[in-house]
Amino acid sequence: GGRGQRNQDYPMASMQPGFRYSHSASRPNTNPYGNPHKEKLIKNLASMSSRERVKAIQKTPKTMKEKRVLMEKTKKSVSSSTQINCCTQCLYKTALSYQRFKNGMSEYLHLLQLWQKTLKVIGGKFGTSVLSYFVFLKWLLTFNIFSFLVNFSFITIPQLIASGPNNLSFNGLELLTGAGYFKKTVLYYGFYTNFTITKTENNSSYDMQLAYIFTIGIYFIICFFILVYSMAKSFRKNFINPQTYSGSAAKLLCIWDFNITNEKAVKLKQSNLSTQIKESLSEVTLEVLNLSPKQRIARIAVHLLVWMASLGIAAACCAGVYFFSRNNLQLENEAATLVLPIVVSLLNLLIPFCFALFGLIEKFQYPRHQLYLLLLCRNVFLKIAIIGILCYYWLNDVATSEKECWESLVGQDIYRLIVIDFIFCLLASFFGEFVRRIIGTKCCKKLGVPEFDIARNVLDLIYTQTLAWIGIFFAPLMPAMQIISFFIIFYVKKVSLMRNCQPPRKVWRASQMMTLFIFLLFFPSFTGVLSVMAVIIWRRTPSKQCGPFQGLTSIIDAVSGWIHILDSYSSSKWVVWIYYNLIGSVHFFFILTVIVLIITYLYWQIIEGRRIMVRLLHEQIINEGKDKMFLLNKLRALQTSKLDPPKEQQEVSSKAWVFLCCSHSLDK
Amino acid sequence: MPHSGIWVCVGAQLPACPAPGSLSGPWALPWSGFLETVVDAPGGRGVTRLRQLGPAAMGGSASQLPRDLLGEYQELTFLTKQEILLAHKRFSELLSKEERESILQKRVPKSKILTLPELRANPFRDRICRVFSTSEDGDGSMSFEDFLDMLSVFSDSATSEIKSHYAFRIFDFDDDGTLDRKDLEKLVNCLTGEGDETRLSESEMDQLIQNILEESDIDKDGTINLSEFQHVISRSPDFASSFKIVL
Repeated sequence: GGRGQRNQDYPMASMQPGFRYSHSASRPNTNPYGNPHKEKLIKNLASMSSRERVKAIQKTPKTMKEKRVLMEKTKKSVSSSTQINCCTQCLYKTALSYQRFKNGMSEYLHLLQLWQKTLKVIGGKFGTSVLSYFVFLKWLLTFNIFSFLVNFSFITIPQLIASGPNNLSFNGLELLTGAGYFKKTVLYYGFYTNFTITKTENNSSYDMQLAYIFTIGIYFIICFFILVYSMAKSFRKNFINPQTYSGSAAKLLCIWDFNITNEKAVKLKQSNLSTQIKESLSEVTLEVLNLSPKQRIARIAVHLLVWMASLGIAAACCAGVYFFSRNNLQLENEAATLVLPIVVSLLNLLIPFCFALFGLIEKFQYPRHQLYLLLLCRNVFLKIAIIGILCYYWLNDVATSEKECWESLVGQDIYRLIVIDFIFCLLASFFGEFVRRIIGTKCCKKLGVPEFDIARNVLDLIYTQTLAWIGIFFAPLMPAMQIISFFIIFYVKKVSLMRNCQPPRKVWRASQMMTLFIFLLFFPSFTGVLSVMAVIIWRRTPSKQCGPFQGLTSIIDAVSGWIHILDSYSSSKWVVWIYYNLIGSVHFFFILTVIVLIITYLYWQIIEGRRIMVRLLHEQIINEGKDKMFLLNKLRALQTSKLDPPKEQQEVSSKAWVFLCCSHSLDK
Repeated sequence: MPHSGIWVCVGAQLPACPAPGSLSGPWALPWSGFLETVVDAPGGRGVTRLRQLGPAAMGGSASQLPRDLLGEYQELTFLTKQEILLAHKRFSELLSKEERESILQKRVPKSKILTLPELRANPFRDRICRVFSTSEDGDGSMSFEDFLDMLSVFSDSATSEIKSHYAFRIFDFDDDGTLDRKDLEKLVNCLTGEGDETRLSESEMDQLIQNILEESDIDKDGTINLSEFQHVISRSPDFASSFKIVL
């Protein structure tokens, strides 16, 4: 077979992934042996809808010329066999125009894509794993842009139209502390009115209370669905049961990162791979070690000790943060309010190093990737603890204190935390990467150039985003700050990466870690934010003299008041009915939960069944392989025997040939 | 990564001619949509100007891609319209000025294809050209449609099955339909590079290939066929994102 025809030597029976051995009628068979298969293929394609047909043809591994011929033949057979009635023709036309519209839209959206060239350069030099951090950053940026647009258009602009004068003076400290001049601007909750803003010309009115709560509520609901959808998509693509993970050798078949285009990076990756391979070939696996009971107890004891130490440190941090924050309530000096955020940021920066030191003690007991996960766990726990104690302080001490405008105070706290955290992030990048590189190349040559620590940076992003989400209620323009800070962080990290870091040495299981990070963004982070919001809306009294909810006993009263008003209009009784019977009733959520649990259980059983099926098929393939080798050996033995084989042996040999051919075509 | 939300353009970027590992300056602004670089000769410096939308965007003396052909390519490959137009532009830069008129009939020799920065450093570049080329002489020269085929398989939206199919073809150095010991040896040599320190010794290579075959050869015939290869690939979720080349 010449190189011109690509498919000659590739007897592919199925283009489905290895699990589906049954040919269903709707999937075309691409076995290229001769015309009868091609006819069957064309017949299969003709029976599909046009969109499916296009997708199926795209998926066939043939050259462009062959695909074109296939497409033309299919079109001919379609037009000759089907009669389109006017209904389907209408549908077809609408579908076609919708497709064209979508293509046009995607063309324009493509032009607006942010940072495409930069991401390509980063991927080209550092590979997919480091690229995933920057893609994650870009993804979080879209959440903030969306939130800012929504908040600005629905809450801030109406407020700006109807706002009063600001007679406080501005000095530079406000940028850091968020208090002072900013107290009486649209930045904070306290500035928003609870009136219904009416324009003088026409009678349209805009209820600020409802606008505030509905805008923020709907934003969070949309975020919830986007996060659940992304998490599910990521899980489906990337979640592999750890026990079925390939051993390290077979991984080599899919390890090369074709994104890397920089020559030096390619050479570096090649030398890293070579080192890894040599290491793994000579390594004694840890599981083979048989530990005496004494050693086992010692191992468990060390492990427990380290965990107690980590928990103790986290608890100490919480106590410290709480102490400083209680102090905050009584402060008069504006600059002194910066102490709490600085303390929090320092803890966030330094404690992970302590945990890494503990990791050194455990280094000899655990394989490297488990250790990495363990460290990640402890850092996540620390951050949850810090945010938890801060939320406790805000909800229990600030909200119930008799301060005049407690929501604005919380907003200022969050502003300061985010700004100082941003400054510390820049400093950490400077010291952690730039200075470390200087040390590694000039003073202590053994250390070498640092690697980009993906997990730590992603956790920092998740931490800041959590604070920003909590802050949206108290300071509706908080996303604007996040946008600016993310932009600057992107460029700083990129420059630092290019100048100071080397590509990662170990292969990183990038997509599974990304799944984990999206899950972390959803589970402690976003759900925590939702719980805080829930407590504020249902259980805390808003301040009496400022903000859109002044005078109400709880924020949810705004909505119930509105429903009450709607009750008097007959055309909107269905809204009232939905509110009282669906959203407000416990039974509905109970039934919904039971249904979701049943569906989850059914899917789980289906997955279990499929897993058993996979195992059985795997065994079947092994057995077929053994049969094939057995028959081949028998044939060889028969053929090398000197005497003419008697008639029955000839029959056996011909049967063996038939069986061999069948099994060969089966497993190819 | 999941795409969601709204993209916003802020500022403009001046793209330099692509060179490996170079930045467009640390202050490169984020939005590169409205400017483009037109290159007169392959490998030369480009002239930056405002991008024109639509099929009249090809500019200069390069021939334009007819609309129906564009639609057909969109149906037959996984590429979007912008990717096809970009591929057309980059392919025509590989040809000399006179040849650009008949871009669809011309074949570009392998040596020129390998000057593309996306392929230049790749250890599998020879195999890629050979697999996707439909030239009868077997010299690895590619036509524009071969080039599009290649980009389609390496694009973002290609399915995992087709990527694994072509990965199998690329790693099958002797084109016999299976990955036997010799193929695996050549594969490992590509992965570790040709340097003296990075090459594996014979015993290490034997041990490694033994391990690979143990883990992936299910029917124990000493070779890895396409289904076994796809089975190994299906357990590695990183494969789809690393088997990607984007212009």
